[in-house]
Amino acid sequence: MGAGTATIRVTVNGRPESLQVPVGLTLLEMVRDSLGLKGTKEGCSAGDCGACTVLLNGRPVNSCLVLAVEADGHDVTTIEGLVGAGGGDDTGNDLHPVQRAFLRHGAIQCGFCSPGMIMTAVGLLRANPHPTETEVRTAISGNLCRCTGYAKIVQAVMEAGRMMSLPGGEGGRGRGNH
Amino acid sequence: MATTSTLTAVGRPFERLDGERKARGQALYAADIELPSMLHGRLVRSPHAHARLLGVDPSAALAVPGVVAVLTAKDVPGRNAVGSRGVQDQPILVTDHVRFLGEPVAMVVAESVAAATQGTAKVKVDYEPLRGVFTPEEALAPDAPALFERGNLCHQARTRRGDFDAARRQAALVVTNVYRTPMVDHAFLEPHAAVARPDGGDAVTVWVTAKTVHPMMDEISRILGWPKEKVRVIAATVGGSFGGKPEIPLGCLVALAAVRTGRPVKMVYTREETFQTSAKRHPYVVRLTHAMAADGHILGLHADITADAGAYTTESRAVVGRAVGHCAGPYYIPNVDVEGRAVFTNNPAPGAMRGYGVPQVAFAHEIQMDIIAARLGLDPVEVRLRNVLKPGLPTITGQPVLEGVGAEACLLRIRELLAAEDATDPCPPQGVPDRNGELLGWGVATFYYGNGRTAVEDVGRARIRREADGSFTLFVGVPDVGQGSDTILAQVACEELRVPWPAVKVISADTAHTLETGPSSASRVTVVVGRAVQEAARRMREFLDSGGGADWRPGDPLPEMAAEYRTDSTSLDKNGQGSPYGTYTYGVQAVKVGVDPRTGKVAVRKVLAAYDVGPIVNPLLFQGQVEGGVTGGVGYALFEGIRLTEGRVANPNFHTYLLPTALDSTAPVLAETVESHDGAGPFGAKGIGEPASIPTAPAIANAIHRATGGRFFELPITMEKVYRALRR
Amino acid sequence: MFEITSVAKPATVDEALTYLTRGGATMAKTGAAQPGVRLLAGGTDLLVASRDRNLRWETLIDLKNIPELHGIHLSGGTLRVGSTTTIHELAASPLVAATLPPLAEAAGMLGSYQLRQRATLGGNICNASPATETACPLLVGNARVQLAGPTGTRTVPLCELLLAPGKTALESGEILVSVECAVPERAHPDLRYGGAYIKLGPRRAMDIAIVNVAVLVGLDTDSVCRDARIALGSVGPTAFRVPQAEDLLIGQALGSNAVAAAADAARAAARPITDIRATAGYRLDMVRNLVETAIITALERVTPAGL
Repeated sequence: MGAGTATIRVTVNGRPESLQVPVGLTLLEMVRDSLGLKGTKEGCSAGDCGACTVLLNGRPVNSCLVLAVEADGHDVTTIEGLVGAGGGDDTGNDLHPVQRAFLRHGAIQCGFCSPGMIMTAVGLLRANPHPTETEVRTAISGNLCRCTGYAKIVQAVMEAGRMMSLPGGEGGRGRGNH
Repeated sequence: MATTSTLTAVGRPFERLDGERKARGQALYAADIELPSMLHGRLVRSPHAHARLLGVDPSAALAVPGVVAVLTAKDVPGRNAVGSRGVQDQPILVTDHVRFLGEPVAMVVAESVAAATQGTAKVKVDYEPLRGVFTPEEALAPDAPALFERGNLCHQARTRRGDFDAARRQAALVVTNVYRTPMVDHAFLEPHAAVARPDGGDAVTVWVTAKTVHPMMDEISRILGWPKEKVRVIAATVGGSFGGKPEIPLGCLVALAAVRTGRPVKMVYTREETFQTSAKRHPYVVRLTHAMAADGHILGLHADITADAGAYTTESRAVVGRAVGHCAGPYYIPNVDVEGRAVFTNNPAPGAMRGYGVPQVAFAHEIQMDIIAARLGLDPVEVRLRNVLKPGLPTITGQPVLEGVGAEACLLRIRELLAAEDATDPCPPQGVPDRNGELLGWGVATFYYGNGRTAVEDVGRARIRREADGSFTLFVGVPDVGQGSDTILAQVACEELRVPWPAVKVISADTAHTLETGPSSASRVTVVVGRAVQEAARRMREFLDSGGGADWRPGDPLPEMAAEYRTDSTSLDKNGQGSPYGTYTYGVQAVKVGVDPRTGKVAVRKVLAAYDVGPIVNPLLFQGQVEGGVTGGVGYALFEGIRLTEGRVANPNFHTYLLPTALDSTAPVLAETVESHDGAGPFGAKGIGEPASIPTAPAIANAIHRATGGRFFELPITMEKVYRALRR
Repeated sequence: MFEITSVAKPATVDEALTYLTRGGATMAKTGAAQPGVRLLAGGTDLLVASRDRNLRWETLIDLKNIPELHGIHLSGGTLRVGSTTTIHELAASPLVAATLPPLAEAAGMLGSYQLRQRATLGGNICNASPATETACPLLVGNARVQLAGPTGTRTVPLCELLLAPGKTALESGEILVSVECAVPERAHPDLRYGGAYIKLGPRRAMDIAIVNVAVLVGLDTDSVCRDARIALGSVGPTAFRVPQAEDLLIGQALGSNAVAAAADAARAAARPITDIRATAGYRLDMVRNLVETAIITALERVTPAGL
């Protein structure tokens, strides 16, 4: 038995890619190794920690538990693809509102969980622009953070939701690029 | 001492300097580093916890396509022994004696991770399994197999003052209990990783995930048999440390592999490898005997502390030393007899972890204080107030408490806050459910924590350069491990330079550019390194104020100032007496829990904290440390524990080793600081990193007792244990 | 990187069956690490197991592109859920919440938000974990599963499909197509129903259950219990119904004595083991306490009369 390969077409951060990949390659490995997008992190490779979260067709998934071939024909967004997607603010800052809120609230410490945490939050806010605190906590409960104790992350996600609902925010513009 | 109200950079909730890079996914962690023609390493690890290594045959592995080299102990050109603090007893690749399960026996280096992994399966290793020892008790038995020629006793430490036996005879009440704490994992989200690049034939650069780089450089140079100048170690962005990292053998192995193959080499541990083979918090057994006067004063303390050191010394000596000095808690006790020991076993070797031996003893002394209060019919806060250290009184190591210390103020403030809670939202009596069917209770725990390394002169160094554009660059040897030290130190520098934020850029933890300044641990960075930064900045300011640098022209060397700060801590005498730290952080946490009587499941509802931590350098980062520390304490109290079966970690992943999730750590944490004036750090600041976590577990245990009547002497306090206590 | 030679992506069940027959494999887990062919739904169990146990696959048959396997439908008083419907879709479905609330509740507690986007109902059932989130609510829904195989389709009750940890009654070459539950209120228009699902784990998210309980009660206009269904998970080789407990409720106006008696009967019927998560004794007590709580909660949720 050998390792087969397959050709897949995926849209990654708005850009169409055609890739020849080993059939056993994970979406995480495709993003990090084939495409060199190192923002997505590997924390456990078992779906337990959420560090590898990316959006697949706008929904957050553990990219360690998705095969690249399963993403064939689909749309993938990584942390690198968020910038600009939420519309800049009046200072010309191109960060997504969720990223901005994470900075403002001190929701980032070591930062290793942050890309996955931010992607989960973006996925949640696309599906549910006005989550309650419990809904936010439920959504990020698959993203482990050992540094912050989560409080500042929850505050940041809720504030980002409010910001995105304002005119000009991502929600106000019809849910961004998906 | 300055108060922060007059300051412009210190005391401000600035966003962290590396935050945007991290939010964008642009921060480079060690596993993210890609270099041209890079090779990948995987380790062949011993499946036995204790064995003779008879032989390693790499020939079949070398035949695997893509495998470039297989390294064994024979390939180590220098001294095959690493460690810390002067004790080097751990080989990076086993020579003849396997001492723990998962110990590296060979390293396969290949063109891809997949090829390296295939190669590891083909390395043929012959072992002769030996009988192992898996508890300190087994290890100290007369017929126990020895891990080292010198026997299985790794280290012993004592503290004695006064006459405990006399105190015991006088006592109105003597309370003895045994407390047990488990081995726990740092569980940083970033697994261990390292990359090495050969620079020509005689130099190497190594990127590691680490709390310290200079000792890593020392270890690599010894392994390679090279002068230190030929080894450059850089901390990549660090994905959490909590006392762990670097994994010293890993850094040495990639360096060796890069030198041997002449190509860059990366190695990343899986989560399972990180759990099975890297450092942990030591499991302790702590036996405490308090001799009490009828009025609630502590007359004497006897303590016996045993730590499982695992297979190698690592940091066990200092961890046990700190535990011995801290096992009384922040109380004045005139008669003390404490003995602690670390014992070698065939378990994975613990090392430094947030609190460095103190969370274990704090769990013991703070439950003991509650038991004493109950036996004497005193309020738990009151019994602590009667004994708390005040200025002028000595600690159990004989170090006089400095003027301006606010330990008592912390307790008084918590008493006020608890009274207010009781007035507005009282808990029903013990064992009586509230209207939601929950049993409720508050518990308190007090702690103190010496800032800096124990009983050694702790040295901080820093260098500041004025750039051509008038901005400043601060060079410090410690990495920012996520706690925000780069930001804190830049705030100190900005303040002292009297320049607007953020006119100071930070370059940290690169042995080619930064001075040795000790590790990012021991809650020492703000205090010890911060003082060096302050001094370097002061010198730079005075230099510039006096016209220095005014005639600088492009091409001239840039103006630079360096400074060093040394703590006035002293070594300890044979009775463990001395002043082991420059300054201490003090504090109290009060935790409210709710217990479901049907299941024993515990929820932490609210946390109040009062700290004597000096002025806060950055309130945003301070609150983050406190909230994160409390959450770590919740895990330690309720969920976490490495389960070992003959040296094998039975729960080496995050679905069996349980960390608190966002739904488990929901309690608001209301942290206050009290006025204090003893802080040796810049502008009076003290360290908060470790102290944030230390009192949480005992406070939770005391709160569960208040709610249910159950006493718990062993962590973690699982819901099944709580349920059983309720049934009794 | 997993060791997989090919992934097939059939567009119809028939095509999938052809791949299966060609490979001679089965979706039922035998526990053996046989190389070969396997059905791939969400992958959240399969890939974790493949990594843990170093499994290699000749062909994975990805079922996610087969429209007839996907979706939630209500027709003729029957809730029908396609096997590749995701757990998130179940948790978020107003249709499921209205017709079989314990199933929606349980789905919302499975794994994490991310895992629920991938994990499927069919995969969760066929993984046949005794602690599986969906089995208890489906058992109280009297679920029947539709299986397609080389010789045609057959329908079996879910309780007959689940055999042992990791083992189902799927035959070689069969695919789980859908799960059907008769909506209780439609089957018994004279009764008003309430349901509850409780999962106990050490944490409040991301846990494998120590005990799971689903309850459905149907009351007549006099508030006498005429239909009672109780299922337990994690306390036997599979999730299972406890008729001994159910019988103690039927015909009763449910006061605390009847509820306690049923809870005791459920405890007596449980056959838990001691493992790293809990002792058997604790599990037994939890069955009793949580069945009691679940019945009380279900009664509180019974639709008031006249609505």
